[in-house]
Amino acid sequence: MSDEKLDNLRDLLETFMDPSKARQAAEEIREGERILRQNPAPEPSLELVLKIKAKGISQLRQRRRARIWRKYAMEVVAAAAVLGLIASIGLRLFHNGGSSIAYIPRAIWETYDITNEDSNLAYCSTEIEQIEQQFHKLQSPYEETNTAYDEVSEMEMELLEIETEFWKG
Amino acid sequence: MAKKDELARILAGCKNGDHDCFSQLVDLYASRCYGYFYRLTGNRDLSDDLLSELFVKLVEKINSYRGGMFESWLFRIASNIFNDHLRSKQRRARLIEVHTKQVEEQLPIEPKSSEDDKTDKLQKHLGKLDDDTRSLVMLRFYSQMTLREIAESRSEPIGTTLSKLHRTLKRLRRMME
Repeated sequence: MSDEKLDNLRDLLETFMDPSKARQAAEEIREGERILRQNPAPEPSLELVLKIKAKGISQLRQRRRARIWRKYAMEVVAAAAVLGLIASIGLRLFHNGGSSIAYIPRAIWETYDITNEDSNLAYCSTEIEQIEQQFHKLQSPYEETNTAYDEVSEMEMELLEIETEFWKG
Repeated sequence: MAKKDELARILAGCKNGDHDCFSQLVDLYASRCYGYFYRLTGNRDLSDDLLSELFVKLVEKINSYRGGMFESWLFRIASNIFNDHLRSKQRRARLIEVHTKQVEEQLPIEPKSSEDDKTDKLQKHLGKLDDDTRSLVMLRFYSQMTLREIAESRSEPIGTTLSKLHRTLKRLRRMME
């Protein structure tokens, strides 16, 4: 036993007995351990040591192999899970009619009447329709009017007005 | 410090399944652990078996070693292996006891030619101690564990451990004189 350990032992003994007895007890312990050191136990045979090494190495190999297999199995499971996920999404996507419309609210795709969505647009649409009609009237070769110039001016004014209102929102 | 670093490197290698590191670990501890088992059992064949079992357990459990004093960890396993052996021996003894008398009556008693003749004086005296105190002394001597660690591993107060160690070593010294 090292001197340091002996000192620790003495300190420890002093917590249970008075210093002189502790010193004596520490010495007796030290003496006992000296006897053990003077009578060493036999060494393991070389054959045994080699056998232990061989067994341990075989165990380590098995463990490494098991670890590789476990890793491989986990990778396979992960890949299968990803494939399963992709397949389930695919099935859901193409189950109803084979298009992605199923994921988008039906109302949006089936609404062609955009004017319902925006009252400003509705107003503009009406105005444009009226202007179109007036143009048709003007461009017609069979319809001669004296007020053609006035109509064009009026239309221009209306267009200007519409444009202003449109951009105002 | 270098020794400590070297041991840390060997242990890390063992955790990664390095064969050379395992061989080095066996070289480092086989002798001490064998001495521990031999002094507890007094039987070379049995010590061989227990030492083999210890290193099998070491490989199994090496990943659960989370630092700290390696010797303490190793000798805790060694101590558990020895205690398991004692328990199984007691079980076997109870079973055998029933038939022993019948066998002794039927067979002539031959002179004992066991290892007893070959064993050293110390081993003979150690054989006179009970298993528990012998185990304590050997754990202290071979593992280099602190008394606190030993007391903790035996689930007893440190004062009890200290007192048992003192008494046993004192007795052993007297027997050897």
